[in-house]
Amino acid sequence: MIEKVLLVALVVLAIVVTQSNNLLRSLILLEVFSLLIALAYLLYQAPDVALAEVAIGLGLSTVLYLVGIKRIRVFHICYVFDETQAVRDAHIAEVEPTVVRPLELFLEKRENVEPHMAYSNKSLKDVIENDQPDLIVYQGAEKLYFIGNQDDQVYQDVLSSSGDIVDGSFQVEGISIEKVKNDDILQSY
Amino acid sequence: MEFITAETVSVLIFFIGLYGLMTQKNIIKTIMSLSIMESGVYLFFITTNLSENSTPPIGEGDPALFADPVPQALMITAIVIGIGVTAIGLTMFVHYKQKYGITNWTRKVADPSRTSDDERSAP
Amino acid sequence: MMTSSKAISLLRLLVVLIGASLMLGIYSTSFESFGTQLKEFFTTDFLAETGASNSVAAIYLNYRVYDTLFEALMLMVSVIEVINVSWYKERRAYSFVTPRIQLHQYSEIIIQMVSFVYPYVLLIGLYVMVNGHVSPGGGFQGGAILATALISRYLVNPNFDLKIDGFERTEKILFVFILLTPISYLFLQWPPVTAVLSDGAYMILMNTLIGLKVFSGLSIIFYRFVYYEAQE
Repeated sequence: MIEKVLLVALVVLAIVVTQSNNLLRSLILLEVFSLLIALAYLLYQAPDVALAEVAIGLGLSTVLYLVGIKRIRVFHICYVFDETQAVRDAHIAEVEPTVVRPLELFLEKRENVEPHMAYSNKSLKDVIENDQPDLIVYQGAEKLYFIGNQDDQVYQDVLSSSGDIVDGSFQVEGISIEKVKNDDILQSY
Repeated sequence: MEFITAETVSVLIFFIGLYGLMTQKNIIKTIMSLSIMESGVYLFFITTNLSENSTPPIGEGDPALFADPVPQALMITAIVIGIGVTAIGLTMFVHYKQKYGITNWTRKVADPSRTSDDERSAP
Repeated sequence: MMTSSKAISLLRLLVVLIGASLMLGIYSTSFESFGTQLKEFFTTDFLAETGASNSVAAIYLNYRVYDTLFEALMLMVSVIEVINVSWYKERRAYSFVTPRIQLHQYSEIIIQMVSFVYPYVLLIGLYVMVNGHVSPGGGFQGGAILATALISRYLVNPNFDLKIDGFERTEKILFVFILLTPISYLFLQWPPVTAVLSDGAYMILMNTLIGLKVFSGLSIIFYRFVYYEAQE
């Protein structure tokens, strides 16, 4: 009875470890997987192998992974297009080399975070409430708007060096998320 | 449910790990999937020729009832080699990240002008 | 960013599904179980021939000792690779600040508990290592437990003042002795060595040498990796 439950739990854990988006969650679940499979080795009459798996897999492998991912944090960015048209590859390709690539380079090299880009054409309120990204890039008529939390250190760094990231043909302005949520100030832009 | 045995589950774990190895974009996830594949192989080898009333192969007992000791000795060696592979993979990942600044497989080199090392001293 | 097309991702999924169903189908319908001649060859009378109560230890130290020698070589190769890929500048220890001040940002509970527990971890590691031929355990397991005790030093004091030259030299010398002992005792049966060692003493000696070598190798891997990751 306990053997079947253990084997099913192993398969479920293996699926979650390889398909999850969160790096820290799959790391901790890999440690639990290693512990459960050591129990399975013990149930199948192999005590030497179970001892080796516990000593090596739990004591060493996990600490190595934890030291390796010390400096990776995920930063979610959402690029919001106009509501009127569907988002096509041509639109992404025309905005990518000027704004998106330098922003991603800056985040990876200077701030040591890992950026995840998303493109959408919903309204700004929808995006803020449903997706909750760390940074929103919105293209107005003449200016480019960076919208984020005021007390986020990475956002402040992005704002203060926005002159280096985007070349001179865009003017960048930063607005905090609270202002956009509370009143519809961007309807007039 | 007599088809949930250790051999079938270990084959499933191996192929789940293989799918993760082929499709994940983050480098650390591929190293984790490699580790899961190896665990599936170890489980498969240990449970060959196991019957209901086997005993661990230690001490004095009826040698006909022992579990098979030859795969167990080989799998101990394989576990130690598995952690060697993990350590090598993680060191290469940290080296790659410090030199080029990226943690994805699908991204090309982040900044082509930054391809030279600076101030390497003796190991 | 390069994205893979739909055809390639469908192909990957198909490969995995077809492979898994093929393996499971063939295994469950037409698989004959293995014969047991090999198991009987190794487990009849292993106590009188080799002097070990643990038949797994009898296999990897006496009947199939080639595998153990090559496995020790594989560990050494991975240590060499980790040393080669990670280079770092030597840090000179400026000792204007006493170390006690730097510990305030680390958790006090962990420091006290680790300093209470680590002698027992060392004791368990030595016990598992030496008693490998009688109970479950052996060289590899004991060496890994000893390496865990040294890794806990990093949790308490993550400064860069551990010299690993001693470990590197120890590992090379131990590898030469691991090669010499089975060759002179089992393969050639050299009279000076056969007169000194008996079967049980040979097992204890080999387990100790393997355990210390695994301990040195894993410590070198861990500390090189951590020092390399911490520099900019």
